[in-house]
Amino acid sequence: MTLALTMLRYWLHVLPLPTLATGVSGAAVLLLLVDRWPALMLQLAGVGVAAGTASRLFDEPAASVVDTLPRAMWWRTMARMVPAALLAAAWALGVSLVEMDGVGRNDVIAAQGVAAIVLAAGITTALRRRGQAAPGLAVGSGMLLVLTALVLVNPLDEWVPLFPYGGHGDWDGSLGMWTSAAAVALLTIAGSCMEGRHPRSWP
Amino acid sequence: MGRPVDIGLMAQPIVPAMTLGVFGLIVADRLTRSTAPTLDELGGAPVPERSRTAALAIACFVPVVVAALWATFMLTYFNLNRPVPQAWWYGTLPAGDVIAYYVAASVVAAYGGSILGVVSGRWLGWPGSPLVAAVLLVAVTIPFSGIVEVPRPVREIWPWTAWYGGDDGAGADTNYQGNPRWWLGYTLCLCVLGVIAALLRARDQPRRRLVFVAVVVGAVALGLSVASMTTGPQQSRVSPPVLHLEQVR
Repeated sequence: MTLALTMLRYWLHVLPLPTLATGVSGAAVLLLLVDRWPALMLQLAGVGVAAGTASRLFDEPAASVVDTLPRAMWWRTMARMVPAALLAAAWALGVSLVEMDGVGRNDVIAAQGVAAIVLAAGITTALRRRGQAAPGLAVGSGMLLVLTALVLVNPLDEWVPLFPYGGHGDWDGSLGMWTSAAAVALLTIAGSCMEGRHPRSWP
Repeated sequence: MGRPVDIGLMAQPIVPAMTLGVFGLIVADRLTRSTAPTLDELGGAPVPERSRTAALAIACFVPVVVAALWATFMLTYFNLNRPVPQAWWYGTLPAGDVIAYYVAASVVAAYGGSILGVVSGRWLGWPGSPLVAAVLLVAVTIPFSGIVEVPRPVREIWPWTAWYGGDDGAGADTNYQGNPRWWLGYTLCLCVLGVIAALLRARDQPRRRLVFVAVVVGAVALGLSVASMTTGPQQSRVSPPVLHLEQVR
């Protein structure tokens, strides 16, 4: 109970709630549009939105202060992983409710979003470990742009089926790729947390 | 059967529009905001805000140069090496339509996305705003690119759209209605309006003349957009079968 209250207080103080609300509602609107017009495949833009939102959850603008405090980086990262996990769960739930009408596979699209969130968490945590206080906006912008660009134009589509389309797409290949990316990101997060109590730049 | 041939040459401008236009939006926004902390520390700048905004608007021509090189290559190379004579391209479409669409959807889009970034950097206080703008831009562009039938006749009101409608499943491809030449003029007007919107942020300088120019350009833009919708073919057209299905991708 005490831990839950501590966490709740921590989240209320540190999480970018307006960004989180904007990201969640943006992804929800995109999924609602998909439910109406599945052929538009707007859920793929939602993957970028989810990743962009998740990356902001790990920013610590007051890093120069909090890095000196008793709470180690691993504790703070784990505390921020909870809202990221909730975001991933909300994405998976939202996708499961959408009627894809044969243009996509719900389970793979849910996995794409979850993996993108984990990937965003991994990259942002690694950059935090390297001493950057708030890399979330840059990581989020980069991921959103790259993922959205790859949805529209993927020159390696035959070999790297990141975002397959329709009944003939390589959905199993896509699932394997995204799962692997998420596994690497989780290892990165674990490595960043186990390296020490403070970022490398800490004196 | 040889290597598959890309018949959708009229679909290609999406590449620079995304990589230069939408990326340019984010980069220009960050560039615009990047001076704010320094200016706060210095307590001001020796150069007025309007001059700095004008400099940023000129910097937006960098992606335009890249897009122009790309468009020139595509229009020249595929004029000399036509992959499929029956597909929608020179010969089956007026050359002016092909060139106007390529210039508008790649070169002008590269500038339009970037200047939109300058506008959001100047006017919107929230650093995440270019991300929201980028998502909105992509999410609205998809239905307005002609995929959805309902907004197709009026899709030219949006800053980016398409005339190529993909293959019909039987080896032929579709070309949507409307006139890309007027649409080129419309997109140019939107860029001018973007520059004016960015310049108007400087409150310490006179704005009346800029507002007047914006109203005139806005009226011209509206006329050009309507002309783009109401002239040219008014029905989507399907080409003759272009290739064996196995060659079409």
